Amino acid sequence: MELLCIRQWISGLLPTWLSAWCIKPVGGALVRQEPEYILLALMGSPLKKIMLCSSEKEIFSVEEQVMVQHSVIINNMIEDGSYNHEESKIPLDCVDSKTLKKVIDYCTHHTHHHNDNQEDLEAWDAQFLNVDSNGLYDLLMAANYLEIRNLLDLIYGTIKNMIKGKKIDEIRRIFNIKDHGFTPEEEEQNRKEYPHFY
Amino acid sequence: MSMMWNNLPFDLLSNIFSFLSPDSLAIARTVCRNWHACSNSYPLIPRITNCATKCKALQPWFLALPIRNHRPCCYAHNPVTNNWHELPLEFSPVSLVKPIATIGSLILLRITNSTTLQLVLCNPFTRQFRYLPNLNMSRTNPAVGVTLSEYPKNDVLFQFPCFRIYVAGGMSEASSQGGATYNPTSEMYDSTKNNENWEIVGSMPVEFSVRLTVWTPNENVNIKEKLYWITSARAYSVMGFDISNNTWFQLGVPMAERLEFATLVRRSHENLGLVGGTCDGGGCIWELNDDGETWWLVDKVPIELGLRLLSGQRNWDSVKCVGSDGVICLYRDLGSGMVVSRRIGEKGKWEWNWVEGCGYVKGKQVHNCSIRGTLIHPTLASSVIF
Repeated sequence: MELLCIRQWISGLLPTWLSAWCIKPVGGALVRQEPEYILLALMGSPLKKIMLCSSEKEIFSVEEQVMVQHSVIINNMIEDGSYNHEESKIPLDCVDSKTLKKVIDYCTHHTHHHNDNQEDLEAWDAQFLNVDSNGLYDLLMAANYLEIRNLLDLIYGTIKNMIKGKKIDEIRRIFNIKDHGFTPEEEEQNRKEYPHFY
Repeated sequence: MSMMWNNLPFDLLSNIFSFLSPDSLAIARTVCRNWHACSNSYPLIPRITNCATKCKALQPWFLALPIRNHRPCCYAHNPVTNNWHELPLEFSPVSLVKPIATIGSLILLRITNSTTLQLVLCNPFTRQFRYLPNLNMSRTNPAVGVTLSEYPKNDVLFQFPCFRIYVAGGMSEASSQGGATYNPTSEMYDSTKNNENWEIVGSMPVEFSVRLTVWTPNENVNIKEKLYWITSARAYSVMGFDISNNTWFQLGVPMAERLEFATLVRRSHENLGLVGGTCDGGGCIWELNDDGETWWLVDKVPIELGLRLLSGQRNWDSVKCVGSDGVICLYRDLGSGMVVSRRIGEKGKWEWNWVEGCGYVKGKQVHNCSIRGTLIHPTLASSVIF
């Protein structure tokens, strides 16, 4: 049966305080919940959350489901039992608050919207990665550390487009590389390596 | 903060580089010391299959090898930037070469100014090359086929190429008893074995040996465990070798008597394709059915593109064709331009386009000449095979 019908039927039977579990505000919009969430809500258990702690010691509470789906590191921590729900928080000392918030945003969106059509997802991804090269760097480091495969691939693709077809000076400017570390002789040598491509 | 991008860990950076085509990579490695060091020391594995990523696979480049040229070089076309590049091909001594097959990013070439078969493996982008050892029996004009050990995963294909080369038929030298004879044996070279030898793997009926030597000088196509060669002229027919049970067989082709040119291509890793043309029918593409005997017409060359390629010629005699997974190129010579068909997406439709020929490279005019083409996945990575 269509999820919406189930929810409407159930909400009609439930007292309002319980049916409120089935519709969850996320980022200001009302989001349809997956069937398993409905069941959990009906059973009265709240969605499991985990705590992530940024390098600036700010705590972010995220659905366990969301992070486990995307981050191999977090998934491993939870599976091997090194994370205790009651007390622990996962310290992420190399990710600052701003970046962590963005990463959580990405994972949450992709978990809740994985049934959306490809174009909408790609448009959201493009908007998500509309950041300057500093922000992109931080995201790259965070995604690499947390081992979030699809975010990494997305970032690689973006970087590829930033490099493709550009000249050396343009690339240095885009990536803010002020010191390339070559001597003038070495630069000359470099240009001779693949002369048919320069 | 601004010191970051030029200080990336190499495993990350090499992942980024694997998405770049060789011309972008050649420039990227000169951006800073860190990027230069990474591309020197880390394996560069280009992505040619879609794997688990959403990023578009890198397309193969068309490589044009001039048949007669005073300078040893070839011309590579980048399908993304639509640019031609001239690449030097330096083997010593200077020889003329003919492409036999592409193995990922390597080309297998035959030295054409030698009567007996001499093979060379080469990466035209890094300019590395290596002569293959001599055959057990020297042969003139045998048929050559290449198989990849299994449908290759990227790193296997580019760093440790696993392939086998089969050489069959050919004429052996005149023996003391009589004149030269058609060699009824086939030999195999396995890239994964350490020895520098060819292994004699089987024999075939003499008629097959004759046909392989005289009538099928062209490149072969490998689909799963079978090698296919097509005769060079009307009436076209296909010779096949089944590696799994060491047997030879023949196949007919549609319009065998009327086709003005015919080439076998690899439409996908499961399907054998035939591209051919007639002046009244235009250019057509067939695929071999699952029964392994009949052909199914799957596509036709759009009329305007066909006319543009023929450019005034009355028939398709001068047209040549090359294809690999997802790409088919029809061309005549270096400057004539090409008709290219590409498959969009994994199981998508095939899209037809025109590609301008190579008239100028970096502002200098290039003299037109006849060529043999091949499709290659370029890489700047060095291979252990050299």
